[in-house]
Amino acid sequence: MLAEDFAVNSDPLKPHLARLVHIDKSVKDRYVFHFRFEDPELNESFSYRPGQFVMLSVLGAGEAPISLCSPASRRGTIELCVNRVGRVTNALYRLRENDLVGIRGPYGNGFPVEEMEGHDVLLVAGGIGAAPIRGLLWYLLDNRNKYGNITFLCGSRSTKDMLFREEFESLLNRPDIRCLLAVEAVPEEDEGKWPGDVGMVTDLFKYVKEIDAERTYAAVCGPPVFYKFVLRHLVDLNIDKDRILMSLERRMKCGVGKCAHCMIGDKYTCIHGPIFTYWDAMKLPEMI
Amino acid sequence: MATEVLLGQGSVRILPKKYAAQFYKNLGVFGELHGPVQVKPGLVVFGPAASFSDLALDQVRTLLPVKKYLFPPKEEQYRFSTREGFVEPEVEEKRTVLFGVHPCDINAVALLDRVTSWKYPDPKYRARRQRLIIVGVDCIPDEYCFCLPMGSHTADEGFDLFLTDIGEEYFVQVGSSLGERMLRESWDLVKQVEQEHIEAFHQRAEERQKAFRHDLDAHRLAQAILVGFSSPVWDEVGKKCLSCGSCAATCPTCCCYDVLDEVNLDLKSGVRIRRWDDCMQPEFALVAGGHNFRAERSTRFKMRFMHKINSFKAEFQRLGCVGCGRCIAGCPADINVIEVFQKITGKKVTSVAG
Ligand code: SF4
Ligand code: SF4
Ligand code: FES
Repeated sequence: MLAEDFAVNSDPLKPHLARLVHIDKSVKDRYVFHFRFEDPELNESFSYRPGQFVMLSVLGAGEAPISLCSPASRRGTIELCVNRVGRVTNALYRLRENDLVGIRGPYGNGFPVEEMEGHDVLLVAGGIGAAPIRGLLWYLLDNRNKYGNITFLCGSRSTKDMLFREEFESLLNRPDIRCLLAVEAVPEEDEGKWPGDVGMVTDLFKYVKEIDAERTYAAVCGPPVFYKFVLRHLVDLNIDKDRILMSLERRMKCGVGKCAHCMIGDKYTCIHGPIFTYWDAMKLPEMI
Repeated sequence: MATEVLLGQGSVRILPKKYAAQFYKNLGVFGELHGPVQVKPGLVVFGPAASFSDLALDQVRTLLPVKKYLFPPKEEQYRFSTREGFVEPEVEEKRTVLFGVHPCDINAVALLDRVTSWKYPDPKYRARRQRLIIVGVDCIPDEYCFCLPMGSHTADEGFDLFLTDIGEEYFVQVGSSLGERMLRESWDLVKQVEQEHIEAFHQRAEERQKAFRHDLDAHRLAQAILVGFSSPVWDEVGKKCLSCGSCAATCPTCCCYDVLDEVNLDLKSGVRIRRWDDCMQPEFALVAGGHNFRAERSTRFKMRFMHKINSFKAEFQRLGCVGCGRCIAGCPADINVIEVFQKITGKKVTSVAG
């Protein structure tokens, strides 16, 4: 018998009902879904770190891991930016406001925000990677005095694909953060309205020559190809691999270190990740 | 029943074999009696065994290990509906006394206990674990056994009682307070341990150790897997492997699972099922969107051991292979994990007959 077995407490695998309160449909197939737990107490107490994820159940379709993109520093509503790719996410897109889903979590390590205190932070997001980075970004801005210079690079294919576009554009004029945006293409209707650069997110590195590598953390999130190029730039900037943080995605069934679907090498993405340092990730076989 | 307490006696006692059947019967007070039973020639399984004579104690391994009691092949996790949310199913309160569990399997349970209580405890496993009483019995290895080099040939925890065959008697070790109660139930059948019993106990251990035939260096395994990550050994086995999953299903420490929802006709309610899964299946690491991180058979084979050896060692200070030999005995492609371990650590391969 297990000594610690006297108290079998709350079940980490059990989802809680949450209501879909709003859908932000700005980007096609990358809607941002806003949820509130049905249990008001849980809704109040539900807190998380930037970079953590939840397991989302669409009743009747199954469960999938989705990273939290709402600012961890503001409670009340959970925002999940969901890429429409599989069975569960497709079913989610068929839901309407007021429909119920199941949510459990938060899981995963999240960004080491305490460790990052007192440092400059360089955030780099590409495509859907803007979701977890946005959560971190607002956490930093809500705790502005604890961090040094904040630089935010964000890229997407076109202005139409840029997640949180209005929000990010409004950061362009904020004095306490350096925000640099790039899109590869500006469609006709946005011509003359796009305040950012036209090009790849990596092109934005030409503006970040002057960083203090010794006291900088980089947080990177984007699709696999994006990492290849962005990491090279970060290493060129001399940022220690231990201070380059990246978010990795894997198939997940439990989210709590049991089912082993998320393993990369000897690490569980759901427990040791999804945020890994570049140094840790580099040592993992089949990392990207 | 005697009121004498076991304190100060090192929690050991002697059970003459002539009383074993009665002793076994008395265990029935604590739960339904189960043990290894022979269902047909060459097939032994853990199952109900009302009397001592039903037990196939001389058989080395059961088809499925103890995990089937703790983590059934398929189980209902929750019922769900938009009205009620997610609700746990009722659990049966029945207790089981599982008799005749060998040290390798006990060590495997001790590892499962750790895996399932790591970070986020798994309530279903733990509830079942609390209702499973384990009585270990020692054994003599066959050609597939290699628990000795894996360090799982003795059990220090994870049992309630453990019986070692010392000739005319069993040397009984108590592993839990429940075990002590079980022993008290048969207090009139057991006697005090004398020096000669301790000598016989060690002699049995020596004999048993001599019966192991495979030379392995388990301490170097994790390192060797990392160093040999691109070794041709993996391709060799990968080419032979049929991805049938028999190895993972019968392994006492393999506990990967899959989750699926079975939906009712209203499409909004149903049951969430979890069932055994295994990393040897091609779609195991397939992510939504279609990228498969492990499309190659050899990579899946390698990952199975990276998980069992490197990851379990790092997290739980125990290796996820206890050397029970089930995967060797059951592999249709004759893949032999002893050979794989020997090759990857640069050792001489010792052949397995059969
Ligand atoms: S039992 Fe043998 S053939 Fe089947 S998956 Fe395991 S190694 Fe491959
Ligand atoms: S890997 Fe094979 S020998 Fe090792 S514990 Fe599992 S089934 Fe037994
Ligand atoms: S998702 Fe199940 S172990 Fe990580």
